[in-house]
Amino acid sequence: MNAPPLPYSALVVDDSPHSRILLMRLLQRNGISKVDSAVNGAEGLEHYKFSKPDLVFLDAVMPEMDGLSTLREIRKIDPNSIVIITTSLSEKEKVLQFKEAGANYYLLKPFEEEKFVETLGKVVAILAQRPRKE
Amino acid sequence: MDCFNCHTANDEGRKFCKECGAALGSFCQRCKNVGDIDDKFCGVCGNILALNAQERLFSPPEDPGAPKQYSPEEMNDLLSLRKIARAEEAASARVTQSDIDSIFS
Repeated sequence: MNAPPLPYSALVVDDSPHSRILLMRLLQRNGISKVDSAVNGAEGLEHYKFSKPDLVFLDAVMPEMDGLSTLREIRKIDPNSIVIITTSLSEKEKVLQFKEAGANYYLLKPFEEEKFVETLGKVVAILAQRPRKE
Repeated sequence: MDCFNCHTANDEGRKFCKECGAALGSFCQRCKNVGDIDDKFCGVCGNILALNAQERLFSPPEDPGAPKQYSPEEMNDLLSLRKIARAEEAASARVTQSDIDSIFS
């Protein structure tokens, strides 16, 4: 059963079709139906500039432009956007790099749906405190 | 025992030839002990002895067992390398989702 619709939009940036589909389904199942996707950081950045989504799910390892570079570019555009890193990279150094670059959350793949829902709940709580976009 | 070098007869128990001073057994370059002629390792310090009988009696040119002496600069370099290695080890340490949640909390 799907959750009640939420007035937020999301962007999923991941080079793996399986991951993109999974994240889009999870978002839609949890009330976020306005979901865009991109296959790498460069494309993701273009989509971000165009649609300014409320939250971004960003893979770390991608061709052309990786997650860290994409995150840094997004932060230049909007320091307050919510970016959730979704990756299987578990080296502490990498995690700290993303933290330092301004990532809001970091989900280690493969993650349980429960963990996804918990993280999304925190994101939605933050977004609910912000004034709605025009 | 006859000396390997000058063939002078020496009494049993002597370690060096009374005529030419050559070792009458396996001479250890590290601790200067003279062991049996067939010893492969020094019976006192464990140093590996020359495999060739001639070399055992007439010492090899360099002491292979001598510890290397480092200058203060070299010691600093070695300590720096150790620090870098430790930092790299820490950096490559893997974390769990729970650890990550703590980092991002």
